[in-house]
Amino acid sequence: MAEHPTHYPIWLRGWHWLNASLFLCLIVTGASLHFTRPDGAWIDFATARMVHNLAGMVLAANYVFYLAGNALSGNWRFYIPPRQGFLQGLAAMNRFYAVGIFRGEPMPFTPEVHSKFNPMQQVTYLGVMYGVMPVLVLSGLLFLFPEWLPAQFFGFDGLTPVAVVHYLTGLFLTLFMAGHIYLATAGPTLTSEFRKMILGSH
Amino acid sequence: MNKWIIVGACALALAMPARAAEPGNDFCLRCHGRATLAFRDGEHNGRLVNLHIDQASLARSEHRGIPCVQCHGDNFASHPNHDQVEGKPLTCQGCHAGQDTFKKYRLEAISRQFEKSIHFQNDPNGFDCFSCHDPHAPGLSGRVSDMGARVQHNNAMCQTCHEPKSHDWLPDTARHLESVRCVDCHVPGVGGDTHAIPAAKRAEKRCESCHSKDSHLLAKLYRFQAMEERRRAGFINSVVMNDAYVVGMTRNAFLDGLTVILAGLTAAGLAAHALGRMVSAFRRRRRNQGKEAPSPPAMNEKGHVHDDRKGPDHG
Repeated sequence: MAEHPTHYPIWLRGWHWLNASLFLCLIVTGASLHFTRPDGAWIDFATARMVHNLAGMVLAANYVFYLAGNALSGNWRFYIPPRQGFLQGLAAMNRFYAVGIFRGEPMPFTPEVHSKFNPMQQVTYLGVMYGVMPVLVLSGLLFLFPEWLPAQFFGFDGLTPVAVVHYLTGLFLTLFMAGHIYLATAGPTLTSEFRKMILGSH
Repeated sequence: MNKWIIVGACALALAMPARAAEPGNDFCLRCHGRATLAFRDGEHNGRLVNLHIDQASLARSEHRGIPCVQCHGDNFASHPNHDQVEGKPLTCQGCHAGQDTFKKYRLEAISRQFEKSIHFQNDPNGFDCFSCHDPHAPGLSGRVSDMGARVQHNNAMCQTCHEPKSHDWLPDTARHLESVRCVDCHVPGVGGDTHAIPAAKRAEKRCESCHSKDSHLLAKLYRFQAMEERRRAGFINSVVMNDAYVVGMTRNAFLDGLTVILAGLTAAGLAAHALGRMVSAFRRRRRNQGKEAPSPPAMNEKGHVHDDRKGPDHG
């Protein structure tokens, strides 16, 4: 299994773990802000608000850094699914996770020089990083600057649709994160994927 | 000195022949319709008392059909007597007590609440209903849908004397001041006694009192809407109910339920998958141990042992 030396450069690993820490922080404070109780359980509202806003702003900046890094280093190419054989590859990955993994079969994909992601990773990471994340970041920014929104939106406060979108994308990414962490244990060994993202190789 | 000039002018006007015994409203409004009409009340720290009556507001107020002199008629010739009208005190209760149509406004209870307020406690003679409520202008009841207008109307009352300062601790102060009434924070608790305004230091400062599911605002600013919503739909759904998004208060029960269900399903699914992997790996190990009961390695003529068990690693 050849590991390309630039598969996991230091900037990418740094971005990844900062993102992970910010996500944990945002999920906990975000849930605390939404599910507030009058007796103030969870984290107190004022603190949760401040931490959530701060972490959100750092996340937005980190996301811009990621986009720039991807563009400049060519890392973005790994996210693009191949024109041929993609659907078969995706079906094979699904079969592996549903059946093969329980039989001890090897993963039907190994990272290569030109492609470090298996087909399932490609489609989910592409969707998450270039589809859902911009919506989350943008809706969060609109929360910070509500004056950019119209006062009314079809009878609701202008902030209401933004809030619903932010909430749903936050929920989706929380569930994604849980799946992402779990599937990282489905590599050649339980810790190989984690070591790859920390050390750059395994 | 100034008030005697005005009184003298009124008396002179009254002494004119061909004047009716009771002047009509036009007569009063010739002076009181002027925007600059005011006097300094020497009995109350020389504060400026505005005597101007906005005629457009008066035309829309609940008291528009009533002649000025009906309330202000006693001792008209000398000085309009604020404290007495037809022998009754010039308060809301003074006219409306005992009227069935006014029972729903709970004027008696409000009067008692007002007497607990810091305004009344500090200056019982200087403060009355009309210190805040202008009977010459339209009132806005809580039963309105334009909350922005209601908040603005209420806050304008406070701002005739108070300037909102020391509110910078609030995140987005301006948005708070235009979204909720002063009394929603300055009268803490859920009793709805917005006339029993305590000292400023007792104002609500806990975000959670409003920014939560059982928001205090549902018992205050949105009390009427909440009751209506519960009556119509059987429950309160803040997203539909009010037109303001309030973090932590505006929630959709369906979305919240969906969150819990999806999170639970995800956790359960991942746990089941992990368990399946652990169990299948354990069984595989047991099976492999059983299959590969070691046979003694063959020894060749040179006495070397060749072990076939070590095969290629599977990735």
